[in-house]
Amino acid sequence: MLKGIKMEHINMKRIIYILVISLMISSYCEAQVSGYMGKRWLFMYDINARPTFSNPNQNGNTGFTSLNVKNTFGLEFVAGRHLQMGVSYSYFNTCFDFDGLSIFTSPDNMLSTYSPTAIGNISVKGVSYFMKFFYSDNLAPLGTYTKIQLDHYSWDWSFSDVNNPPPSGFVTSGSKSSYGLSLCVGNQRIFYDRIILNVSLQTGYLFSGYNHSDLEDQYSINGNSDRFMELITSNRVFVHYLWSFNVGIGVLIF
Amino acid sequence: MKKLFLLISCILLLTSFSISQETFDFDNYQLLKSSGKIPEDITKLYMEKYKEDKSSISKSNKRSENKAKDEFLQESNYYINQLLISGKILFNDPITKYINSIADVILKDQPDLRKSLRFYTVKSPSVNAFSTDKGIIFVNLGLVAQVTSEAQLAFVLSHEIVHYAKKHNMDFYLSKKKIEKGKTYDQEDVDESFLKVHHRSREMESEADELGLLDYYSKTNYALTEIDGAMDVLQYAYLPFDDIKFDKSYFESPYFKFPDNYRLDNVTPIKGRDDYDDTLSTHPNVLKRREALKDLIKNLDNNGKQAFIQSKEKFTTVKNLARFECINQYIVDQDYVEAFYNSYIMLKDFPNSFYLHKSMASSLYLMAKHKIDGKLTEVVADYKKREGESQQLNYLFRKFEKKDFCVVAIRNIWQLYKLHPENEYLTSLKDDMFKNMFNKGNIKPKDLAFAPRDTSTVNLVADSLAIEHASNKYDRIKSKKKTTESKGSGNENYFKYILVDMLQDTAFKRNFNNFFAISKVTNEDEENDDDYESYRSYRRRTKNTPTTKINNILVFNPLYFKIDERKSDVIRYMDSDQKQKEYIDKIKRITDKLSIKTNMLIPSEFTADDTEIYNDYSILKDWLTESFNMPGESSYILNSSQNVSPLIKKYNTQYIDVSGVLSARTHKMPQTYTQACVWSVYIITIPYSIYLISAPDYYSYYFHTVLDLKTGQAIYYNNSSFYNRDRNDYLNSKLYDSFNQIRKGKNLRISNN
Repeated sequence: MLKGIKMEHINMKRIIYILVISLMISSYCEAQVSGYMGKRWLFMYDINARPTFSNPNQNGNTGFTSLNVKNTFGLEFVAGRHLQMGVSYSYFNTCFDFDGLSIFTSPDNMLSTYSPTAIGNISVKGVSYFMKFFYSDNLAPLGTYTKIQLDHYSWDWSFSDVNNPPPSGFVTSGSKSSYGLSLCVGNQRIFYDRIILNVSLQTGYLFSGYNHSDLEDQYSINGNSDRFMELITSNRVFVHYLWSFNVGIGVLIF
Repeated sequence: MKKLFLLISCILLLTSFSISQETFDFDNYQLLKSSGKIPEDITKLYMEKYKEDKSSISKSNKRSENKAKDEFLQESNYYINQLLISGKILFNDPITKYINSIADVILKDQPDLRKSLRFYTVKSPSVNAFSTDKGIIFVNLGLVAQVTSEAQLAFVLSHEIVHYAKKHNMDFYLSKKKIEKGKTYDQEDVDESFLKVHHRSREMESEADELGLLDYYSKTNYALTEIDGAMDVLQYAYLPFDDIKFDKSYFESPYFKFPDNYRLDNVTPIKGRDDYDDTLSTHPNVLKRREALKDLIKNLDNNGKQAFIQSKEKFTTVKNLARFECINQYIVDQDYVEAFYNSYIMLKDFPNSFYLHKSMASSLYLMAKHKIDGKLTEVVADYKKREGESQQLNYLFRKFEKKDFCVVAIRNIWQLYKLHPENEYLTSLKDDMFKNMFNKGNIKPKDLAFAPRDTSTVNLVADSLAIEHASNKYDRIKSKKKTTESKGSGNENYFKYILVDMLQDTAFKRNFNNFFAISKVTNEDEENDDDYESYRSYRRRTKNTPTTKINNILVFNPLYFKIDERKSDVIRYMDSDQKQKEYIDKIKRITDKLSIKTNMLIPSEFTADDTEIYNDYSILKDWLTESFNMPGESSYILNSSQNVSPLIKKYNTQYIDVSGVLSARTHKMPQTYTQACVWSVYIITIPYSIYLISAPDYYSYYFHTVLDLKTGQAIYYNNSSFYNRDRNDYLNSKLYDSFNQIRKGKNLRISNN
């Protein structure tokens, strides 16, 4: 896990440099950008959805048909004939659950077992910088594209169990942040020369990582609920980030 | 009242007199143009024509028959309309007027029928005429060029009138549908129905011959004996205007002659079979038609009937006009041998015709350029496929080496240029040929002699006189031997003396030296260039090339085809027409938005008074046809460029925009199934994968090119295809991008000329 965090700091700088340079090069090379009918700025709203599977969504529902939903607002710019780039802000709320666990309670430092009867909440916010590369016969912002996105997510979590309150010393809230990188394949269409529709499939990797074995070690050895909850929520966000199906609507501003 | 009557009579008399006395300057021939108002047949929109026809046809009780009739109207109207707006149609020109005057004679007793018929000339050199159920009869230039009398033309028109009167086209279409409906997928059934369809067609042709003769032709004063001549025209339609001997000496001078193996000892005699197997033909063979007509003629009276009702001179003038026009069309269609040989034939009657000499020079130039580019076989047919004297030319041109062609072309062009040094077209031909001689023709001054070998070779006339007046056999043999050696006959040295006479001309020599000096510099620059330039090298080379921003452009009638590959009749006629209109509107909107001034040459928008624009459109159509026929990237000076130069001044632009779309509904493509599999992995996207499998697949192709009317080169092109429908957003995006690039001069391949 530590390895993962280190990588995050080392690679991020490099990635940002690459993105900035590529932006400069593309702007230089593509001096005659048409956009769509001369319009090159877009405002987009996307909904990213994925089934909850075994993890609860913000309503606490689980299963194949229950969805975790993320809302994204973005400002995008057609930088080249086949290149679109932009920034976006996203947020979503979801829940997390965990099985019973053994914990050292303070101040007597006794090992006891806690079985939660409630689920916790996570509120995630993120900012992203992305580039959409349109396939050769599609002119941005129209047609099929591949998107590379760099994200920074931060999330706050909280946990309360009215029926079975956790033992004292158990940390019930916290926050965390992480960078992530995602790849997306999608298609954009334009109606009435102004309204833009976007459909895509996205997969991503959050540098906070996913680690189940560490999770067990933390508790059986240290009984550190802070670390425990951090990993639980990180894993939850990681899973959400892993892949999603996106539908968006936007407007060509000018 | 009497005065008024006299006045009208005088006007009519004067008018007819002026038409009959219309003279043409064949020496300085200018291509024919349409005149007067544009007929409604051209200006009326396809949809209007279709709806009008649909409302007028009789409805049958059978639903399938009504459907077939509707399909026929859609299809026939579409194709007729395409021909009418193709720019290939001449109206109110001397040839069309002449055809109409013959129709007036044939139908003088049937004014209603005459009123319902419209005749147009098609700018095509093939020997043909065809009729439509709408009352439009098209007569190709090739037919007028090949008939030998007015009566022969009258017989062909009578035949076509029957097709119209009997509504043969609709009848044939319905019969064909009926036969096809009855067939199974058994190969035997398919073959049989194919034969049945052709049998029906032949029946109709025989009926048109018979009724054309009995109902129309025989009721005129045209000679019945001329019908056999009309059959001759059909039998030998594949041959040039005449069959006269052509010798390679035409290209030679007293100082050189091409080796003897450059000519055929004997040409293949003209066979022109008239009893060929017509089982798979739409028309009965000529022998059957000839005999059937002979049987009918037996019972008719030919007394007092003539080959010409109007004057023979008028016919000859019209025929010559058609022949001159055909020569131009041969060049447009890249049939250079035909253009050259027919010009050669016409020179007998018009030895001073600059037009004919220019056409020959142009044909030689274009063949030489094709030879240089290794494409000669695409434009000069194998001599074995030819018959008659013109075979010599096919043989000779196929035999010519690159350098032979270059020299023959430059000799011909130079001789004409010397007579017309002010002619811009000839000047550009001369310059380009000189450039090509040294660059690609591999001709080097060291390979050529600049002076005759010795004084005795200068005057070969004297040599031939010496042979004639030799006192004995031995002297004659010696004289002959001497002449042969001096000419370089049959040996490899012929080329050395090929330009000797031309190089005596100071002006020629100056051009020769100048262009050789330029070629040396160019060759050094291009020494390391590959045939195919890499993108990187292209970018490097064009980095500092000044871009030309285009703010004024001619927009040529865009193409739009909607097709359905799954159906036997692939074109969706009404959709194609509708979509073309929408596409034109898109072009207008986008060019307006980008402040590009456009001159739209779009026939569907012509009004009756736009004849001048129609003629411009027609000229540009020929130019575009010729331009698109040319191979690859090389720069060719097109024959049609002579006619286009005034238009550049008139419209104040040298750029023409040609674009179009082909949108196809296709059979299911394999990649669709792959996509459907991918989308089906996720429950929420399963409906989308079902949609992918169930919805039809589409494919669209968009092309956009801008051509430079001065150089003939494409300075911008964009061809792209996408697996999608021809959706508005895609087309808007493509069109806007193309015009934006054109306006800003980006991605333009501007010639430095």
